[in-house]
Formats: sequence, C-alpha cells, structure tokens
Amino acid sequence: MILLFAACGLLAAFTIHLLWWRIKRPAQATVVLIFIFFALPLIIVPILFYIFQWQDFYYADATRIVLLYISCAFVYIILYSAIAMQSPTLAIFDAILQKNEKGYESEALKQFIGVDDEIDKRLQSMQQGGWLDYLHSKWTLSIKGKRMAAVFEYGARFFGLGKGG
Amino acid sequence: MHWLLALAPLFALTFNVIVQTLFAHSTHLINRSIMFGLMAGLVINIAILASLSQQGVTLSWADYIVSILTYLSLAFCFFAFLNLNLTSLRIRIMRELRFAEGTGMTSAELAQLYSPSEMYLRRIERLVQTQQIVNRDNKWFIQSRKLLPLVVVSKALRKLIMGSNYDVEQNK
Repeated sequence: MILLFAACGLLAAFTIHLLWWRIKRPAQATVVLIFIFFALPLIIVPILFYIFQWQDFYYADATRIVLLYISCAFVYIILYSAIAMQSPTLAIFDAILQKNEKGYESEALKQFIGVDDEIDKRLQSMQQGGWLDYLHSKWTLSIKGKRMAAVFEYGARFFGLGKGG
Repeated sequence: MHWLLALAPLFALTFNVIVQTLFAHSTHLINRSIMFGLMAGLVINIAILASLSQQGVTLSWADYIVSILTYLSLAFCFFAFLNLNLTSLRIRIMRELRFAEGTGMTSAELAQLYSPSEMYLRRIERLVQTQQIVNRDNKWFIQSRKLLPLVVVSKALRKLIMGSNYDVEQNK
C-alpha cells in the first residue's frame, strides 16, 4: 500500500512535469520541478483524506510514505540536471563509443568535446542564475552564491573531500 | 506499525554519513569512503529490519523494499552532494571566488586556476582509472561497457522529457 501511494504520487508529479515541459520548458527548471513534486502532495493528500474518510491512520505509516516520496523526488530532481545537461564524462564516453573499433584520436576528441570555452559558458550561466556578479571585468559571488559556496566549503571540509571540479 | 521500521532508513543514512566522514578523514580515500559509507548504512538498515522480525514484528516483502528503497534514495542524495564537491566546475568556481572575496577574479585568473585542459584531463583520468576507456597508439577505445546503460537511459529520458528537437549543447 505504501509503495503504491508513493508510486502513484511520483507518477502524477512526473506526468504534470512532462506535460509542463512539453508545453513550455521553464527557465528555472529546478525550482519548477521542486514546486511540482512538493506542492502536488499538499493538494492531493487532503483531498484523499476527505474522499476516503481515513480513520485507521497510522503516523508511522505516513512517515514511511513521506520519506519514500521525498527521497525518490529528490533523486529525480538530481538526475534531471544530468538529463538536461549531458555530463562531460558521459559525453567523452559516448563520443568514443560512437567511433567503435576505429578509436578516437586524442587531439580530435579534445576538440570535439570543446573544452576551450567551458569556463566562460559556466560563468555566464552562473551569472544568469544569480550566483555571480560581474563588475569592472571581475567575477565575485552574489549573496546567494556566497551562501551556496559556504555550504559546499564547510561540507567539503566536514566530509574530508578535495577541491573538486 | 512500528516507528523503528519507519525511521530505519534515516538511522541507516546517519550511519552512512558517520562512516564516510571518519573513513575519509582517516584514509583520504574519498571514493572508497563513499562506498564503505553506503554499504555500512545498508547493513544497518537490513540489521534493523532483521531485529524487528526477530522481535515478532511481521514484515512483508513490500516493507523490506520500501525501507531499502528509501535508504538507497537518501544515500543517493548524499552521494550527489559529495559528488558535486568532487566534480562540479560550478562549485569549484564558487569555492575559489569565496577565497578571493573582496577582490574578485577575472575570467583569465579563473581559467588559470583550473584550465579547460585540466578539466578534460581529469575526466579522462577518471575514465581510465575506472577502466572505462583505454589509450592505444594515441587513440581512445572503450574498455568496459559499464557506462553504456547510463548513456542509453540518459539519452532516452532526454528525448522523452525534452522532446526530440532539444539541443543539449546549447543548454550546457
């Protein structure tokens, strides 16, 4: 029953997301996805309670449904970014895969992946997202960016990770 | 229904985080610490379910699936957070800019700290280390097809969600 509830909720949210994207892809996709996946249960669950008049309701069971639904929703939201923007690692693998037994020449692969303007592309998209400010030819963190940088900096120190990238 | 059953995935995730953190700090083997943490949490989750079963709580196969699926999903979210710190160029840029607070950095300075070639080489190095690709006579070849399902699924999902006319390059 718990599996069924969570699966139905996720399926309903996914269907709305799919229809929305087919009509018009939103600029801030992640924010809209979070809204769809988390607003939907807030609307549907009270309606279900009203229709079925649930009496034998257990809070522990509700916790299990909520935990399963939220965790799966977050997994999808995380995976969505890998769907929308191809991971460079997968792009490299896919490019070599397409060449099959002939192999991909090292220099040609580097050119095909097009790493030369990668930094500029990322900086511009981060500015559009409100993470960075660009003033007098210099990049600085916006207030939103500072908060996010602090989360990842402390996270990296706490979990014993390197610099990344 | 038992509260311990409901909260088992959260206890397992907590254990995962503790094991990963301690292992990473003591050995500096990041990838192994993530794997050990994941496995340790899974073992704890199963142990809680087994102990409940021994105490006479009747558990169906669906209870096991829900609990383990919830734990694995939570563990994936934790892994994604760690992975962002390890591989994301955006996070790296933000962390570098945090150190240069007040003065800021030019595009050239950022590119020097982390050149596009370095990024490319790091990714190639990761693929070589995990034995996905191999270089023979200055040419790259596929060594293992383990990543193939990921490539196929991500392409299929991209087509389903974004439509067939979606250009992934323009949305990098």
